[in-house]
Amino acid sequence: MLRRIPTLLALLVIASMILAACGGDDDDGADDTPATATATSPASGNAEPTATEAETAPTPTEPAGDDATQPDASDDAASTGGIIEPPERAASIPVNGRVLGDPNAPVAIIEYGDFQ
Amino acid sequence: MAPIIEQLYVEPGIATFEFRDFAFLGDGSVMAAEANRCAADQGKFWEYHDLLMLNLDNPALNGATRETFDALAEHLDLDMAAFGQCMDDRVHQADVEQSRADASARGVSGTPTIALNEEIVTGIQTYGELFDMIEELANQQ
Repeated sequence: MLRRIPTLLALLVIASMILAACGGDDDDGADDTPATATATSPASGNAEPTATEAETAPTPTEPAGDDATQPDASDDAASTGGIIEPPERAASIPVNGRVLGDPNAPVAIIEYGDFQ
Repeated sequence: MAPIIEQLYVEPGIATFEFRDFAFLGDGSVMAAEANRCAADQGKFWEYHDLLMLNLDNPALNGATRETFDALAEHLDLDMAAFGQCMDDRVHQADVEQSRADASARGVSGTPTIALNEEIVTGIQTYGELFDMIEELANQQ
């Protein structure tokens, strides 16, 4: 029986080391907890995904938008001498002097306008 | 407003869209209307109209001045000698004045004013109300 005591002690040491290792896992588990919470809370709450989308979606698009528009604007300014180009009118729209559209259309819209 | 109307009603053949100048804001607006008519003489009414609408407040240009009108005409590759002559001679001055007088006689007092089938539209507050009126007229035909 006495001979078995060192063996039991050794087993206890091994068991405590395993427990310690499990404790380490618990620590890792503690690190995982916020990640899990972060992962689950957006799924459970509507506000957080929206906030996340609101925060993340514009971030990539805004710079892209700026990158997309600013060079275009400068390109336009360079290519047109600063004149702002209107969008192209659909080629399918008939043009009769100052009247646009099918002359047989049932409604005639007239705009009285001043350029200034 | 015109691009929306063009897209919703002109392109599908529901309506025509006509622009009539009502130059009531001083010499600059009168000259702009004359310039547009000078461009129309060369078949570029709408092209010049669209440029005017976008560029009279353009800080890169010089407002409603001859310099700006010439720059826009040149941009459209108009015959600049003919355009300049048209502007110098004020060929369309009387037309612009007549257009303003006609509109005033019909009750137009500000811009933009819309007429549907020659009836001046009054009392609308939103595009939606205007679109409802257009669609109602279209459905009556």
